[in-house]
Amino acid sequence: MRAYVVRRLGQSIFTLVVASVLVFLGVRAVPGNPATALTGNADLSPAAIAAINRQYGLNQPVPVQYADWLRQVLTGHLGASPVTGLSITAELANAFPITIELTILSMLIGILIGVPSGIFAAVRRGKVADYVGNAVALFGLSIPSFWFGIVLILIFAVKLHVLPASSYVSFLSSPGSNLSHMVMPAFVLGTGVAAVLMRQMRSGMLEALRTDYVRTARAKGLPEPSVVLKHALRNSLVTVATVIGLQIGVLLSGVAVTETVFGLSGIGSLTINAVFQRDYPTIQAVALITAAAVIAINFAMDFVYAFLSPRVQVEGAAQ
Amino acid sequence: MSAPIARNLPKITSRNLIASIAVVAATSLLLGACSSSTTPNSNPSSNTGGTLTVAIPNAADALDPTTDTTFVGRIIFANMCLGLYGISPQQQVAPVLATSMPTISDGGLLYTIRLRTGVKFNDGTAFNAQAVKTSLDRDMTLSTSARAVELKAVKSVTVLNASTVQLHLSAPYSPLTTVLADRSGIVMSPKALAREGKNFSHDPVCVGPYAFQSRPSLNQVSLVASKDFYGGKPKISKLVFTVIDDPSTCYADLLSGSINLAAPGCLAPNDYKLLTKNSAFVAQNVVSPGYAGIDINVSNGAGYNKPATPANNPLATHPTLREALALTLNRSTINRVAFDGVNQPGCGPISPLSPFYTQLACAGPDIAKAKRLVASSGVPTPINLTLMVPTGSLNVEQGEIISSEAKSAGFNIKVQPTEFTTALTNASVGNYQLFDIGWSGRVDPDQDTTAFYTQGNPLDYTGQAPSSVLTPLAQADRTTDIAQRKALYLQAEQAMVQWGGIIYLFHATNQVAYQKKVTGVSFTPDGLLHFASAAVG
Repeated sequence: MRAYVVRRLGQSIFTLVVASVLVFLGVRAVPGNPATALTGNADLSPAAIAAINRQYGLNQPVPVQYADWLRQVLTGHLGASPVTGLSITAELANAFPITIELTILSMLIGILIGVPSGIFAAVRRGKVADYVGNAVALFGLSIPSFWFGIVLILIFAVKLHVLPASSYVSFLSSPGSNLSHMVMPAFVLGTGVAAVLMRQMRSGMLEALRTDYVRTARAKGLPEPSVVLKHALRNSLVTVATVIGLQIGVLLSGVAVTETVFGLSGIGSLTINAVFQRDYPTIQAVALITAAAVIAINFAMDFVYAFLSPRVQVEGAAQ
Repeated sequence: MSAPIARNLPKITSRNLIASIAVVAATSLLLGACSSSTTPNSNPSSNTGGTLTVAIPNAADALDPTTDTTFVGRIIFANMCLGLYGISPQQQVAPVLATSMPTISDGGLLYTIRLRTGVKFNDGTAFNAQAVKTSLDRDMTLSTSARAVELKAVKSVTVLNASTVQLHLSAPYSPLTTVLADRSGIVMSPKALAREGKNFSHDPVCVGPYAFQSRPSLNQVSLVASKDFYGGKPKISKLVFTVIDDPSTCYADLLSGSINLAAPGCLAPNDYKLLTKNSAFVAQNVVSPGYAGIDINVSNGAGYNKPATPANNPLATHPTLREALALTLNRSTINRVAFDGVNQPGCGPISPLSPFYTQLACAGPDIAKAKRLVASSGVPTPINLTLMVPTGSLNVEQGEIISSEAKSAGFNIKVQPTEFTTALTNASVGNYQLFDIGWSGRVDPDQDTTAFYTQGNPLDYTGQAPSSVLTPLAQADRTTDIAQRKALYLQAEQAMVQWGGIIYLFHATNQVAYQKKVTGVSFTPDGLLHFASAAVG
């Protein structure tokens, strides 16, 4: 197990370093002067360009610039946005909690709906319940999140006045108000996640229910719930865990459309604004932090695999 | 085989599972509702105090009057940072922190401005002539200043006494007073400038009915009522500007009460029309100084900062084709179909509200004449062109209508949606043929004209205009006589239409809508909202 952890940690760190180099070089690859790229202003005077070069160290060799930038990132000094003047660290510190909370709530809704319905569809394969489940999953996969979000707003905020239409209240300042603001966007995203998980869960369960060990368990006279939940389910969860990890990564990188519809100033909204304003330092910081978060999530999921499937641990030790 | 995970699980039936899933789904929606406070909108109903939430269509950049370039930034400054002059509802320049219009002497080279006395900045320090000089010097010299080009005619600023400041010009420049009615005239607290330096935007302090409180994220700015404001403390305690960049969301938020007011640019025209019929809301549509039109790349083939070069399109070398294209366009139809009729058709850049406005007779639509002009040009049809439009359903719709109308005279126009900032960059470097773009407008016509026709100016997408356009514009800059300027601008506009580098379509309008319980909102023709006298309830 220790060898497995060390190997995976090393891979994760290497991936993160490669990501940081790509993010760093990305800004330098923008056509034109890096100063105009970093400020998004193509009409700078020579004096302004010189000032910005000094401020961002653009007159240094590229490896020195990378080392300086990395040092600033590791010490949390990401600088200020040249467009808004706001501290990039502060902007990320404001945006990430919103996105993290939205991710957690969406995944909870997705798992609580998707996993049981996938199990049920597999157990009731070929029956009406299976067809209904697949149809609902298809609906969840097909429906555009912006449309669904606006429909929910029109029903619950405009017509019924039971939920706020948009914006965000911190959980610490008012838990009740926070949940009331987050329930609709979380539900919009959660239904999409539930649809993916339902399909994956059903597929995994169908495969597991056809295996020899499940047949043996039934032959031994074990109750069907025990066969399904204790034996088939655990082995099906490995692929579902993979999908969960991927979905968390997608959500953490920011779902800009849902955040826009519900007025949430999360990572997606921050990224979109930064792109439109050519705020390259912010884009750089968001890209790097998001890459780090996704790598961390995938690293954590590897532990979940090891828990779900002892073969992973054994094979890891053998290597 | 894995060990048993759990024992004594309940019997799974289809009824149990369906019920469980339904409960989870319903609970997640009801949980928030049950947990919420009494209403989603927490604005109190009293006439004094409370919070006014204003939706703006996009985020402001740095809250620094010296560097700001956004329209929404101007809306925020209008309530937090007053200037020497402002714009009245009649679109006239009026003194604000100055006591009167400037005294212009020495052949237009000296502006003497007398200032209000007994005024304080929102940090309690005194407003005086030295503070004005400090702000103007910063605007003229900061390397990242967006105001420097506006103040290019000002050579130096001197303090005559504590309440009088003088601006010394290098050449007469009659639009200067209007320039001082925008961000160039905003006076910043010297104490705050000394403390924050180039980070003034982190905690901006000026003279205004509201003081900056916080900017917790890019998409939200909070102001609080100022106790130091010379006009008296506002009734509203807190002013919150929140970005809602999707028009459907803005409309839904206004209906639900999540916001009190939708600023210009927030609502789609069709939603605005619905609000005009909703008795719970006040909806206003005001003609602005701005315009919408089509820029044609005539001589900006190599970029604005290079010598004038004919562009790569037949309209660049055949003026009759530019006229033909203009003759195919039915402004009323475009306005009605794409914009629900909210704009005012027009064929010049000067707003109908301006004292320098003269109504121009728009030629067209005249398809027969357009066809004759195309035939006489000798250019074979169809004439293939690309129309660059900023992304957005309304812009694309307008582009499609233009393409459809132009087809009747032999133009084959392909609409190319392009991200806005990219489109501006393409236009600056001359990488386009036709560009559907507007201008938010300024009160003085000089700022709506000269920059757009002078090679070397970043806003000149069309190229170097002929002297028939530029000469009357330059003459109008040097005189302060209104009648004389009006005649010169008419001469310039007629030359612009004849040259055809920009086909003007509409005089832009600004729509604003707010709850009826909100009172005292001042909405000036420049699109700015003033909440000094506003109240909720």
